[in-house]
Amino acid sequence: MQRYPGHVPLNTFQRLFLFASSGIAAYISPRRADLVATFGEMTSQPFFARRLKKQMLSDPVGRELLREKPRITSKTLNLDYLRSLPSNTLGNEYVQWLDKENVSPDTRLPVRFIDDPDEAYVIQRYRECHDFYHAIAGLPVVMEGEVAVKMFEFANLGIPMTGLAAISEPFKLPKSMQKRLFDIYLPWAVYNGFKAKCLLNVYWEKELERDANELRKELGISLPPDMRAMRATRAMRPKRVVRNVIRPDSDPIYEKSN
Amino acid sequence: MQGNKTEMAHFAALAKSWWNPRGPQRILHKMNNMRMDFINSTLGPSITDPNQNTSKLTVLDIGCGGGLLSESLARRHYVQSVLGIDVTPEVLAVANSHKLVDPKLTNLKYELRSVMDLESVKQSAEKPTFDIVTMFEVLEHLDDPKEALKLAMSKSSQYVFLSTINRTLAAYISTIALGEYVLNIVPPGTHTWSKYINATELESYVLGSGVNSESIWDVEKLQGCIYLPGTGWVRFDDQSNYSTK
Amino acid sequence: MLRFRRLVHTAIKKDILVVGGGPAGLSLVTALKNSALTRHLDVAVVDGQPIVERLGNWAANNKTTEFENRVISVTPGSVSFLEKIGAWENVVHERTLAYDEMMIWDGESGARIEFDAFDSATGTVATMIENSNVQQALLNTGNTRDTVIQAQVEKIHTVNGLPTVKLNNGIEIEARLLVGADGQNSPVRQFAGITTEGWDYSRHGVVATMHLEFDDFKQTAYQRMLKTGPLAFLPLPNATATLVWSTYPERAQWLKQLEPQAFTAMVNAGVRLDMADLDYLHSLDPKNTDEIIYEVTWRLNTLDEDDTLPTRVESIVPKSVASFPLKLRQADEYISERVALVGDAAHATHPLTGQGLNMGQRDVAALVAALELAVSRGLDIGSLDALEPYPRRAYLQNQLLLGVNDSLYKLYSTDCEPIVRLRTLGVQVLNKLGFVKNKLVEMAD
Repeated sequence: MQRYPGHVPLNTFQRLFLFASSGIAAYISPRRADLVATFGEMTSQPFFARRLKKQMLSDPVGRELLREKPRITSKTLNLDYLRSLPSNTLGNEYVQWLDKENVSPDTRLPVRFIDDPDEAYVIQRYRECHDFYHAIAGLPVVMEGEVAVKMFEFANLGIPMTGLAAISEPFKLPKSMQKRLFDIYLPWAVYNGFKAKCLLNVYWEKELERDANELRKELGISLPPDMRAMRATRAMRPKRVVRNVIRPDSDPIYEKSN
Repeated sequence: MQGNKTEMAHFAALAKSWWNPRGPQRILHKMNNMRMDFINSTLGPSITDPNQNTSKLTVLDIGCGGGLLSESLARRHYVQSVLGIDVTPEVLAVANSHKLVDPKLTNLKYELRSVMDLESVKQSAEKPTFDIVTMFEVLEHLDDPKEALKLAMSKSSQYVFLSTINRTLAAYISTIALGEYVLNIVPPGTHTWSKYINATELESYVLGSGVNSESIWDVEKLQGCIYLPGTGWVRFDDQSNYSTK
Repeated sequence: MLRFRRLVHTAIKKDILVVGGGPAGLSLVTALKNSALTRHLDVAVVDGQPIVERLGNWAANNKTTEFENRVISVTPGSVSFLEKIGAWENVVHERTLAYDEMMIWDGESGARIEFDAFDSATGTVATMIENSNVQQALLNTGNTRDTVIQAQVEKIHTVNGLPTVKLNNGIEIEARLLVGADGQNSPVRQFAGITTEGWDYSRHGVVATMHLEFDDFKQTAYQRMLKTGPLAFLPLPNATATLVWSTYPERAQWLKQLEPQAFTAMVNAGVRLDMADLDYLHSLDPKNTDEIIYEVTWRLNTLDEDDTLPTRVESIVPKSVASFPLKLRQADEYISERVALVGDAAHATHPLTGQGLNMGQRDVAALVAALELAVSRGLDIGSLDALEPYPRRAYLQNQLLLGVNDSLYKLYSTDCEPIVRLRTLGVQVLNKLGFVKNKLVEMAD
């Protein structure tokens, strides 16, 4: 029985088959967003989506989201209006990030294989907010940035697919990038992911006009060093200094990147 | 005639703890329950069921000791009165003082007297005999059990209930070796093996000539039992070390 | 002229004095008076409440009143005992409901197990009955009513080797056997110096009488095992049910502060919503009725209608909401010289399997059997010889039930995922094994 538009109900056999095939296919071609999305859905059931739903039900904003089930698309978000906002606002940072990375909020696939409508929305919401996580962390869509965001999401939300991606992808990267990831970005992602408030309980659409740094502070997120800048200079910083970057908020490099 | 001297000294020593159900006489308390069950089932519901019975019986309890059985019988609605006799003054003193714990026991009397001295005992001036005579665990303590049994039967108009210990290896091991010396559940010196009487001997005493010359007596029920520590008294139907009629 | 007043201590003499006129105490008196062997014993029961006045004409006065919140589950075994002692026929039967099915489901995974009594001799799992209904039936059986003395116990002491109870009306009663049917804090137990073992569950049971949206066509008792404790929904006649919701003391307190409409919404939430919803609802201001109702209504509307769950609550009977702390207790002894304990004085359990009253009835049956035996053996009814068979029959069985109850309670008071999975699997397997379930139903009886 279809329980929400686009829902594809599966029996146990179909579920197992799809779980195995999407897993293998996604590993072979990680750039195929549809395969990755399907495998993400298969692995988030029955525990993880349910746990996230519970987290949302325990929070007033999470409940508001579940009640209203807002969607994030180029239609629901007025991108031109966001471009007109002051540069320190979340909305402006978000649209600048979209423009810089040349992506659109409409590239997210709809959830199909999760039975419970609330749980399906939870996963849908996670996908649609993915760009906000990039924006709030200031990380680019290149593989290196993607891995850092995935790890950040995994630490924050515990969705297995994000963890799998964060662990398997780095080994496909060149050594220098790997080192940067392991020294700077993954520790930053784990630390901030755990420390931050559950990001699914953020009504991003209602925070667009707020000062981005103020929001980061409220959510408990510190900005990592600018990855684009670092990739441009290709200069490896001495390890000792770099290590310090990731934790104390008063670190000079952290201050500079703001 | 007097009771056996050593036996008397032994029971005098037991007097103090006689009524403590968790003391050295615990097994006797348990045995008393079984005696009452045996008496009730032998008499049958026509006497023991309060809804059926209206008649009341008189009882002579020979070897009443501290009065366990005497009190029990005196409390039953089908018993009119109980006379308990014993040869040990100390235990009779216990029986008399314990009787006062229950003020309703006005139909119970005790007398210092031997079983060999029953001639003058009368239920009342008109009626020399009792409806029930009981003689539990007495024969094995006497020098002449056959004569004692004859006297007891002469005092009963309806029932004689009695019990004693079989002279068998099993009885020796359980009552003397284990009971008195190993497990200490019975005070040492309580029993003398040579005085034990077998069920068949007992049966022949009852049915034999001299006692039962006019063949008016019959053995109505014969039951055996053994005490298993941890379980309590267990009854079985033959091979008794406990019998009655 | 001179008037002399007698100063000599004279106590009334009773064979058996029962302290406490609840179902256990009154059952004991009624059973003793019903037995040919024990009928002659002089028995009295003391209670501080005016039970005869309040309950003597209960049947005539309570044709249409609301159900009280003290409703108990009586197993067929207890019913047949009450029948045997002649009390069951005096029960107001229109105010009882015999249910033939019990559905228990996991608050985390939703896994369920159904017990039914379709194959049993009585066809009944248990009968729901108001506490007062049982008491009045007992009072009106035989001459039980005449044995009741209304007075507070002031002091219990030993005079001439017998327990003697001093009442606040100046009367002193000396008993050959003193029976404590006087509840969890039993003064009789304290007099006898009997200690208890056990613990508090740090849970409170919230009770209420509820009107349902419509009468259920099934007679089913429901129990939802939440991590905060079980929520039981027990059927009564005329689209009514009684609630026993065990939960954290602060949540019980919170529930008691709710307006009736908010309480109704919370019960519907407790039966159907996710624990996360319940946690959130409990974080709201208990006086904010509108918000509570709004949140519950929204969440209930997201659910598909499930007619295997209990009918929704329409309203609750005002002032029927109450709570009590939950404990597990077992007295170290049920007897001592001239003292016996029955019912809650001897043991207290979690209401999880509805065994409280039934354990008390089994105690009474065992004590009466012991006393009948004692009378047939001519024993002093207060002596240890007379009383010993009672705990032998009752103690171990109660210990076993207390243990099972406690284990069940602990098994369901967690939301730890692996344990939830395991118990869910266990229940799914068990639910398929009809013969094992029938055995369990029998065991609980």
